[in-house]
Amino acid sequence: MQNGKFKIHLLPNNITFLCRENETILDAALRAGIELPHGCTKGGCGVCKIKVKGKVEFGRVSKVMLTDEEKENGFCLSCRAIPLEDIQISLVDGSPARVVRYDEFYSFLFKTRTNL
Amino acid sequence: MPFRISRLGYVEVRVLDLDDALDFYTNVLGLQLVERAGKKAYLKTWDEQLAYSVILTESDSAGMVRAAWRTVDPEDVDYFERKLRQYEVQYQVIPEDYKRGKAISFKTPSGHTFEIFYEIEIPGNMLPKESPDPWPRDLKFDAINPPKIDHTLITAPDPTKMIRFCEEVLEFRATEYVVNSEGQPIAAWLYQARQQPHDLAIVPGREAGMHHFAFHISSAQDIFRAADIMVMNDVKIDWGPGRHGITRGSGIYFFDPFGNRIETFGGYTAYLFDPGAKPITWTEETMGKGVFYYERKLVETFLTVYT
Repeated sequence: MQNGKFKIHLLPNNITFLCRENETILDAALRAGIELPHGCTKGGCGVCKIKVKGKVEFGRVSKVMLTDEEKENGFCLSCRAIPLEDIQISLVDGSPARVVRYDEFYSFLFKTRTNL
Repeated sequence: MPFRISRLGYVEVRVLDLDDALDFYTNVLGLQLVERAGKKAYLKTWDEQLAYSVILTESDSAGMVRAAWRTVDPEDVDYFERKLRQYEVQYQVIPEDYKRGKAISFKTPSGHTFEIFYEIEIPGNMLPKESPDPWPRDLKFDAINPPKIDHTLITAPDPTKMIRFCEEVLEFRATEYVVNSEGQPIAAWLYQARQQPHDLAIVPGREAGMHHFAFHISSAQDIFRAADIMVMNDVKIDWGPGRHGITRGSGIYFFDPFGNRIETFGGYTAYLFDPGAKPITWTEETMGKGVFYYERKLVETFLTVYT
């Protein structure tokens, strides 16, 4: 945790971004310029399913798109899941997520901010 | 061949929380609540004659429970019962449901539950039967308030088979197709007696999937008003306001609070279809422009995101 915010580490991109209090993983990622796949953003379509290590509040989601078993096995819907601690995430197929603007400059700003 | 189905009567849609659903469907979309009964709520638009057009059912997932088609005449229900027997389609007779009489219920090749019915209470719309004004004064002024339910677009693992079923057994007629390189339809826009671009559309996708259901909005101007209301209420817009090449309609795709896609659709006055005229075809190459005319390509979420 950093200044009341949780850190989200994205693999295999190997980049970290911050999540505000009560912010979903998806909102935090999009704000940081990381294009996690997403669809309805309401927990209904399942397109934003990701792997997650660490505690999250799963939020109101369709049990068909995220089963109880998947919840136990480290999956969540990023559009609804809210981190409860520093977490690590990756796409279901293990591929890198599309990054729109997490460039060196942004990383520099990020480091500056987190070092405050 | 006469038309035996008048229109899409109602859709039943699963929601994850009925209180939140009713807030959205009545205050933002502007549907009228007919009655809330346990885990279900029955709603209708202000200009519909029949008892209801949308059923919301609290469940642990989103998506469609059933779509029901109302026949033109009472005898047409028996006609389709015979037809289902002839095509060896398993069906059930449901003697009655909320404010509704007999229906036949069956699974389509796409895995959807369809019903065919005639008898339903007809309380009328929100206008008087004598010398009515064109619209009621007591609608919520900042809700979308569509006048009627329009169509539904569903997904099928074998769309060609589903399209054939709808045409042969349910006697839908096609206004437009997307055909593959072998000339087989892989998507179709199908209509019934209420001559409009479509009552039912089919695209490739998961079994029993609901891509969206739609409400009519009469003018493009009203579609922009609907978009304003969506933004005012922080509703997630999927696409639009935009124009479809197929149907020439204008619309907005947006999501209810549980991820069910809804469309406000209309402004297709240029679209005239004469029974007997040849359907329009689009190819896999031109399908992008067909679905999203201005973007000229499929928006990424079109074939992947649905409930």
